[in-house]
Amino acid sequence: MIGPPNVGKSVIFNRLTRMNVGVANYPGSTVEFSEGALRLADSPVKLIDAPGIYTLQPASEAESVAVALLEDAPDLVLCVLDATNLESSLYLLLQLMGLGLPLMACINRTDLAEERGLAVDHEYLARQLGVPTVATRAVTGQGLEELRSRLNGALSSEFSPPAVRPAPSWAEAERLTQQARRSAGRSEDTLRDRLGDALIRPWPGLPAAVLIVVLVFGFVIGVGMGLRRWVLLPFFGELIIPQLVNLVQALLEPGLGREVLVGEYGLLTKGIEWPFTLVFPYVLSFYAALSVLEDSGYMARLGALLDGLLKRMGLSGTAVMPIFLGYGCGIPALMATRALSSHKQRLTVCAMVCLSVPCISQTGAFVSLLAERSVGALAGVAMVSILAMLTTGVLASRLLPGRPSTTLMEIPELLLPRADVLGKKVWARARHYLADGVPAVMAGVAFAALLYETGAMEAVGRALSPVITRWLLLPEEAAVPLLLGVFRRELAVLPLMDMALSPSQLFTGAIVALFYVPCIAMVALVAREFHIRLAIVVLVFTTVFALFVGGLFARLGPLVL
Amino acid sequence: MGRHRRRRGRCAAADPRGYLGQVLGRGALAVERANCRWPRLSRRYGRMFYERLVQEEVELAGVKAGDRVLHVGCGAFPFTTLALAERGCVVVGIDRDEQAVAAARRVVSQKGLDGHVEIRHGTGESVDCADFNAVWVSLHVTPRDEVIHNCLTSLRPKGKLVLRNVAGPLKLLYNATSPAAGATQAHVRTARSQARSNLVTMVAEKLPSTDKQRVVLSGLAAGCRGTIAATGNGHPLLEPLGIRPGRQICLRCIQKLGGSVVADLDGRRVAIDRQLAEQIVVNPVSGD
Repeated sequence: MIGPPNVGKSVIFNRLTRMNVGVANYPGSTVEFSEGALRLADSPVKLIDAPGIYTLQPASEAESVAVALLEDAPDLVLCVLDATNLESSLYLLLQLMGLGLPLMACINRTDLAEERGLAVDHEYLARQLGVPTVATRAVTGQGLEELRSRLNGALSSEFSPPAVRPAPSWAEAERLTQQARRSAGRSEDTLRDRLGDALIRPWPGLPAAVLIVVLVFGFVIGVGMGLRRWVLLPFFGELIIPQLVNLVQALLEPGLGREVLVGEYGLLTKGIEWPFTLVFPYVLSFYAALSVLEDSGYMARLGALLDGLLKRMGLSGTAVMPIFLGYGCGIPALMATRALSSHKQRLTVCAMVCLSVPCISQTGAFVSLLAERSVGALAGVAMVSILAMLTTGVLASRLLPGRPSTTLMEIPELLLPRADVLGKKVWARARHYLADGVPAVMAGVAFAALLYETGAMEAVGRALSPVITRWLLLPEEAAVPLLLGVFRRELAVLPLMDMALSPSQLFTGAIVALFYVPCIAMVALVAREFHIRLAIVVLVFTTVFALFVGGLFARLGPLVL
Repeated sequence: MGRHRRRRGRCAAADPRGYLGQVLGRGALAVERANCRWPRLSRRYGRMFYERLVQEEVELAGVKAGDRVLHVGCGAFPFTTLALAERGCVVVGIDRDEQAVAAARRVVSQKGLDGHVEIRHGTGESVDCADFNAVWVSLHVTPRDEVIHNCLTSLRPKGKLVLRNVAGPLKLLYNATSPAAGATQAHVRTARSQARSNLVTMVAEKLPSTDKQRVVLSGLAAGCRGTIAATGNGHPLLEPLGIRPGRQICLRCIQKLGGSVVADLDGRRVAIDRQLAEQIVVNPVSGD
């Protein structure tokens, strides 16, 4: 399945395979390809959703993936066309026809085209091009049954290669578009259009952007805290954990096993409390907000508005997406850098995300650690993080070789996100946290419990004490977050909670955690996506830098807080 | 670096590049004087640096034997002027330095090219190019923008302006001219020189006068429409996003801080980098 970005391929894919895959009203949301099983009447089929491409000349690494997929000689290529921007989709279709692969087309977003007073005569196109064509509305599911049966037909019938065609030209695509276009009522300048345009203009777009970012921040923190206080804390803290503790205490004699399970770093106390009550609420609220921003098409507007600022960092407007994703989790952020057009941009965003963008798990931990003790310290951490991010960007753009990139991006329409699509998406991301994040945190806690109960922790603390007590002015136990922080970012923060630290010490701890090693999974991904050398640089630099800056703030903090 | 011809005055002292240019210019002057004195040196020097370069430029600009060509900034030893004359062009070389003009005249008569080459005293900012099929502007010529503006304004339609532009490390010494410089008056093409890898040749072909009101996209007022005439060379996404000659484009807004230009193409909103937008030439459509 191939087509231009942001045309609804992923929605069609999800509907056909009944799977939950990331979908966004934002170019470049599918960066690797997704693969799903599709049950047709005659046989099971493997359906691949390729990253969006405008033409077969790839402009980014993600687009090269799509072109490479075509070289694997698929049994059938389903080209998804955009009814609202027919000619560029048709050019892609014409290019695909030149490849001599079995081909089918489906014209999506016909509902949006109708709103603009346009209709596409898909039968005319099918006759002209000799390619079976179906019209669909993926968001409502209209036309998908027909698509399913036509796919079945196309796969079971013998394929005869099409006649050799001249090289595709834009003139031909334009001619076909003119001929296939039918007028369907009057085009209306809707409120949605006007609002969408207003949000891209500097006025009122920039103040609105500030307002929206503040609102999003407030929503993430507020809703997260509410979820924690009213839902997750009562459920886990008062219901589940005490029961588990009672059960363990009833079953096990006092000893190492019992202490590991319910002791200071008990697997069943901290191991459940931390991931579920301190981090999970923010994961939910953040992804809810992010999904609305993505699906409404606002993210691209933000990218266009901030383009001038991003340019100073050698980035283009498209880089907003991976940076925002980085505030959720660094892994999808690094993956999303594939959609950026230059290697320099990818490296810059990678440096920003690895060094100074805290993931939502860590942000949740910061909020839990600081919000109740010192709001000033929380604001301070946020400021330091933003300043560091901007500095990293500016430095990276100066130091890395290569030209600054030029922005050229499509701004999708402003749409009201559909609740069912949003719900699925938030759930898919939350499930990802539950499946990958929670076990990692629990493993980290179990590791800490073992170290603590066997006394190894004290030894490590003593060994590291010159750094931790002398330089960072923290108690010896603060070696724990430094050890655990390598596994998960939030584990560099959460153990500080029960140490009875002063506000200044909390702030120091938070700053160290902010700049400290991104989790081990991210380092591994940097090695895979870029180079093992870069991963080592990230590992060493973040450790040294975090400790160095932490020490400076430990001395500055008491002056301010 | 001593191969450049001469200093051409008015280098702003505050600009370090200007100062470097002055030093280089003196060096170049010495080399040219040496060339005037020792003809053998000049032959080797000319072959080494100019023959293939001029050949490339002539091919790119489509200049034929018999064409009338003006060379702005010919220098004391007018290599380019002579190379053009050898290809059958009728060449006028101008220079703002009287001494250089006198020296160049001697060289021309020594070579017996008096009938094909004329050396005059004059400047690129004031010369009238209406009589010429093509105008060559040397790398050292300053003030560059004024010279380009004068040449493009006074050239006849289809007349060509050939500019030597720097690439690579030479950018530290000379200001490169943006391909957008003459975009509203001419169709601009660029090509990296094969003979001299640190030079880029730019050929600007003057457009018919009916297209005179052309502007670059970022020069349109918000809400104004235009038909795209040229898009500059560059971004792989220009064509798929509908930014192709002949298409209608409507400027929506220009972002702050040197940010992008947001335009509308047949209902599709696109954010275009400021630099790209400065290379997109449009014919404004009046009436809205």
